Amino acid sequence: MISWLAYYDDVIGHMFVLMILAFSMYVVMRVGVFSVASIGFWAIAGYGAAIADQYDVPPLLIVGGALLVSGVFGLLLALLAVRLSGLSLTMVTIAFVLLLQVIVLNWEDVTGGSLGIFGLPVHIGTYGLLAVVIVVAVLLALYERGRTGRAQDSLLHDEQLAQSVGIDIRRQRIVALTLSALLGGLAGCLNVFQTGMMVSNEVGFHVVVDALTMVILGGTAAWYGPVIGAAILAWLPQMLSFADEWRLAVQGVIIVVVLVFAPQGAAGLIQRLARGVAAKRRSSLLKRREPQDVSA
Amino acid sequence: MSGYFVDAMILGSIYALFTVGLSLSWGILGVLNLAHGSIFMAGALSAYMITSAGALPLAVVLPASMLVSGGLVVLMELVAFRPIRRRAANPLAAELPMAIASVGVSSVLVAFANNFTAGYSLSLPQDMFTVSSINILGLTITNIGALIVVFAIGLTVALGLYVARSRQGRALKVIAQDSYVGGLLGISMNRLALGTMFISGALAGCGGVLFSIHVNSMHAYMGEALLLKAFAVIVVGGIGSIWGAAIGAYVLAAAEVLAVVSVGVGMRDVVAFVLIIVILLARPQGLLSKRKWQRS
Amino acid sequence: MSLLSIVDAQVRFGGVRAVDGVTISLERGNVHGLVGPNGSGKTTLVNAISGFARLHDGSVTLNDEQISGMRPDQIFTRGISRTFQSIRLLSTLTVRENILIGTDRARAEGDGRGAGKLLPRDAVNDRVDHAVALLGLEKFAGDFPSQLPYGLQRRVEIARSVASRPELILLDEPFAGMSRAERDELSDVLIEIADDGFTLLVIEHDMRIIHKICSHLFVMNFGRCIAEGSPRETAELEIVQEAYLGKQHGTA
Repeated sequence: MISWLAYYDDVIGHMFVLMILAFSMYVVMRVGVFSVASIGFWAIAGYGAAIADQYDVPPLLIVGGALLVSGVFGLLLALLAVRLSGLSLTMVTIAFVLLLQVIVLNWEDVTGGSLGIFGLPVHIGTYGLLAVVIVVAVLLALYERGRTGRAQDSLLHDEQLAQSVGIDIRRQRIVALTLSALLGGLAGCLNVFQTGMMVSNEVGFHVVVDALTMVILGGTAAWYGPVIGAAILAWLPQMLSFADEWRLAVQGVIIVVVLVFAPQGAAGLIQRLARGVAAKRRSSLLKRREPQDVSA
Repeated sequence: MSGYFVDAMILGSIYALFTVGLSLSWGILGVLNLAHGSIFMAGALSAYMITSAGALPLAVVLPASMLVSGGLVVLMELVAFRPIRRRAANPLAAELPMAIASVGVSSVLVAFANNFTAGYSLSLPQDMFTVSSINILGLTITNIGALIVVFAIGLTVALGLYVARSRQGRALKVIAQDSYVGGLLGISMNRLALGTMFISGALAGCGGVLFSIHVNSMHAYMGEALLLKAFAVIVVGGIGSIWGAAIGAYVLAAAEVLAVVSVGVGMRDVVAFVLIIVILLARPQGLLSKRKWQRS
Repeated sequence: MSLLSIVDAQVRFGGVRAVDGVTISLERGNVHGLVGPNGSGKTTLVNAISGFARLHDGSVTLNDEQISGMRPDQIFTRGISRTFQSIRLLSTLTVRENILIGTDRARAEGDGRGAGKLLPRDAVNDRVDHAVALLGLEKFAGDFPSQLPYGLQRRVEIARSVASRPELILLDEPFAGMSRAERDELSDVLIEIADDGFTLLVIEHDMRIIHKICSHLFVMNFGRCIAEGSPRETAELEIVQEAYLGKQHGTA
């Protein structure tokens, strides 16, 4: 067991980083918004951390800076994006990521161009990452209980209903987009701390596909959705080691198949199963206690 | 000076061929096809694969490639978009899952292209089409450049007239307004969707083939950068408008050439993003507003 | 002073005038009926009141405050709650949680300007318990909506509205798709709700139900309010009979 953990230490550590990125995607998708801005903040914070690291800035200060920058830019992007709805909002977030891609590739002096920035010290180990994931997951689980959770559920399933019971869609979206930016920035920063490098690939198409695979596979029904999604994605290369060059294709197929056949994802299926069990238990209790008189 | 004009015309024509279909499927069917760039690439790649089997002239290869790229989008419609649309509670609820699914499809296409090209850039065989310089009205332009302009303007005008004049074209407009009413009028949503998607894909494929001859190169990600440009074009021209997309395409191309001339090459890819942001700030509701209130 | 006044309201979709100059007022404590042929603008009027459709002209005023131009969520916090023609319940939440959604953003009593604080927990529970009891849903509070028959799902929606303790409840065809027995039961419930002090505006086709529950009736046709008054005298007007010509009463 111990040797197994040691052998897969990198995979497990990366899994935790992916979980935070998945959380970042999740918090916006949960309020019915398809945004890929997470990848933008992943990249901004990643490059920021890598560059600061070259000047030996203390790691904690780097994290703080990454959160600050992501939060501020996330809020600005949110204020701009919430004036739009649906696909138009999605489009702006994609444009944001595509622009960053252009900047990263062209601004070679700072970003290292397509080669990126290498050879940085590793600042965080697997246990440290696990601790961060646990803290974020607990906060999210607490956050989505009760009133806020119900508001998110209504935004995810029925925007008009949400408005009709007094939920301010824009405000909810601004909060979600900003939170997503913070988490995306945190993930990007931790990614550099774990791997000791930042490459231009991390702004590319395949990170978008990775992020979507996690959040679609896991689903947006509850906080454990992205955890499941990230866990599966992290182990996918191990399972597909015979066909690594087809990994993107496999992920693409997963996204389409899940969307068509199980749009609620793993968390949704788990919730549904739990509902079924609860319903059965209740109805058998009712039958035992009193004769049903559903007069309808 | 005239050289810049020719550059802008060719660039604008590529943008037009690319964007018209993207805008059409978004406006009419609510499909933001994020695989559109990959379809553009697939057109070029299919031309390469066809010609590698034997020497053929462009007059044969181009229609064949358009058939392939159009067919691919039809396949997307059948495998992904239609099942998602059928499952959704209302047309609006299908928009985000369809956009996400298109990323999945794009991922499959990119993986295929990456494996086929082994990550390298390819060029189409010279004997398919020999590029030479010609003189039109005192302007020096390559014959492929002239062909791109002719195809872009010809196909856009033909499509615009078709939508404005024909019975099917008017049906498209009805569906764009309200698919429910379309159903009442006996318009088959499914058939029109197939037609729209095919045209959208064929136009992108046409652009892909001609563009790869023009720059004498093609690779797996060649279409990705165009998405950012297409978004700017759509923001300028309005979602779903053929004429808007055509005009927007040349406006963007002119602005880019102008920026390159006056500021520098680095500015070229930033223009699109700036255009998107400026228009969104100035007229957030105006250019991008679409369906507001759906029947409850 | 009327609770709600609509003055010369106009809503246009493209060239179609869905609501074309409607001027009516609703009185506190009344059950108002809104009838008219399909496409006469009833739902659009309800959408205009609740902020889901933009007024091109005219105004809507609640308690002397102009609410036209506000967003739906702002109008809700001012004290207008609505249901939709189709059932809008969240399948992932229990019946009780679905009703809770109505209280989540409701404001404390005595504040009609929407600026008040959110309700404390015990007040929320009182309201939800009250609404559950009023709609006869005690036995089903822990169930999921999909386990309930259609008629009861409708009741959950009304309970969600009642729980927010609004000044005005707008019900868009609450009886649609119900059996005769279900209709009779629900109409009794609506009368109870009105006795509880709520003001209602109900869209309904069935004149038998209208006569039973409404004290005031508005008749719409072609986007205009063509008649109003007590149900008995209004229904007998020639212009109203004409509007309904060829249309059977009581269709769903």
